Amino acid sequence: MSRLEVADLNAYYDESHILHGVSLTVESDQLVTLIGRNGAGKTTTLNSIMGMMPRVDGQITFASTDLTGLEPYEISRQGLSLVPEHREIFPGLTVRENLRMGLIGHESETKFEELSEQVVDFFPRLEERYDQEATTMSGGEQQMLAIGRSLMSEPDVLLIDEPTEGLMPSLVEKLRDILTEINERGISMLLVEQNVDLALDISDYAYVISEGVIEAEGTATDIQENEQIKEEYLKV
Amino acid sequence: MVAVEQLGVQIFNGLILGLIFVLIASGLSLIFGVLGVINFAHGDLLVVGTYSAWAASKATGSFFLGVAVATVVVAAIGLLIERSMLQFTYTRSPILQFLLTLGIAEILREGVQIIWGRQNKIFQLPDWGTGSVDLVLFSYPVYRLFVIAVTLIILLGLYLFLNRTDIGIVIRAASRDRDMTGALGVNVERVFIIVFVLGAALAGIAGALIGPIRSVSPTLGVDLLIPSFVVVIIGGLGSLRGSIIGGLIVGQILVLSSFFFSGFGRVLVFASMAVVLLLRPRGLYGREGMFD
Repeated sequence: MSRLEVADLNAYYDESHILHGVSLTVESDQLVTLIGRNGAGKTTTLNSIMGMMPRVDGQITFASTDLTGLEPYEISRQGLSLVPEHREIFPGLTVRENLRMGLIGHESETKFEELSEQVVDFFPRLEERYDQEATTMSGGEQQMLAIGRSLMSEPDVLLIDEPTEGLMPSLVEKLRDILTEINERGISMLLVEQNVDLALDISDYAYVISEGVIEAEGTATDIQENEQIKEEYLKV
Repeated sequence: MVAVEQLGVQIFNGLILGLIFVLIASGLSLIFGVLGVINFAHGDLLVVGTYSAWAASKATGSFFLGVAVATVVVAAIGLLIERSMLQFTYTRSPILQFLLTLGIAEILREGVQIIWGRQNKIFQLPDWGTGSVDLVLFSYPVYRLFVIAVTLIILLGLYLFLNRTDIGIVIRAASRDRDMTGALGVNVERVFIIVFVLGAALAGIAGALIGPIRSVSPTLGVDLLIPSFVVVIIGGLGSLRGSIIGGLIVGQILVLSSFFFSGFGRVLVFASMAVVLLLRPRGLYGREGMFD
């Protein structure tokens, strides 16, 4: 069973203590969402799982492997992939090269062409732009590339940070379908979203975070119907 | 037509000097771009290259073996520097890296003098490199034409390496975003090693190639390093294209200015740097956000 389990996670940045004992679980094939207001600690949670915070304690395990204290590249090779908040597309690299970057660090049996074909299935626009410098694309296209780049490593778990941020409503709808489809293909997901309705709509399970503490959890429907939680932790 | 002849020769001399600057500056620029380190030991790595090429080709009688030895020796020293010292400084203050590379530069410069003495050496031209080729308007030494050809091939190779190979793509990606490169499964520490060794090897080759043109002296590195920094600044930190354009400009300025009004070369080089910085503070091809 490839379940991702975070237990009693504390994260610090310089002097500030940002996460206070966060615990959460992503079962295999599940789509789990982490919601909360700006600055609640959502991005920090994803970065901590990926090994990108300067100081954490607690335990992070994936498929019975202890990830705590591993380098980001080692965590990536265990099957986790981060689609970061600001996409972090490499400037100066073409779309094709950005996709290659998702694959290079992994000893993959599958060829670039085969994998990129799957990515292009989800995002046909990328193929037209293969040889274009990636950062000259629109925000929406860059978001697709960021997800596609992560898919190139054939991950078991995607950690996705604010994928709909700054996208046109029509693109948001499209992205929602694509995220669902990626999940249906057997990739579990930990989704961080400001768009609470969308997140709860496509998720199996949800955690609500506020000031670095998990304040509530439950099936997406439970959280959706709980007006008190929505009022207290999610309303802007 | 004496003037045209002389001018042609000078332009070619400027081209050679410029290409040597490009080799040095592209190493400096790669190392800065990826590791974030300004390598003040770069000029003295070059000196080690010059001395080892001179010693090895004298001992074996083969110039090419000398160049090969210089490249391998300097690359190996680069590996030693990165693994034994530099790797511990990446997350610390840049002042530490400044002091460390400055100290290494002193050690290398003193080291070659301890091994080979303080006297300048004469690096004999290889037999095939003596004589000149008639280029219609003027004739030009064979060895110098060889240096132009070899550096152009090396730069083409470097361009293809950075643009057509997986390691090259990773190096370019890491120079833009180290954290994301690591998060995608790339061992960035290994990329740092490759880049530092590659930069050192380029300095080693440059040192070997310039040996028979200049006299072999311990201060050769410092003499070439300062204009090379200017090249990097004019071209823009972290840009290979910038290093090439900058190198060719500085080479021509230095040589042609001494042809027309001797003694002003250095002044003009720094003046041109000032002009470029006034018009384009990041240099000709410096990337946005490098210092944000």
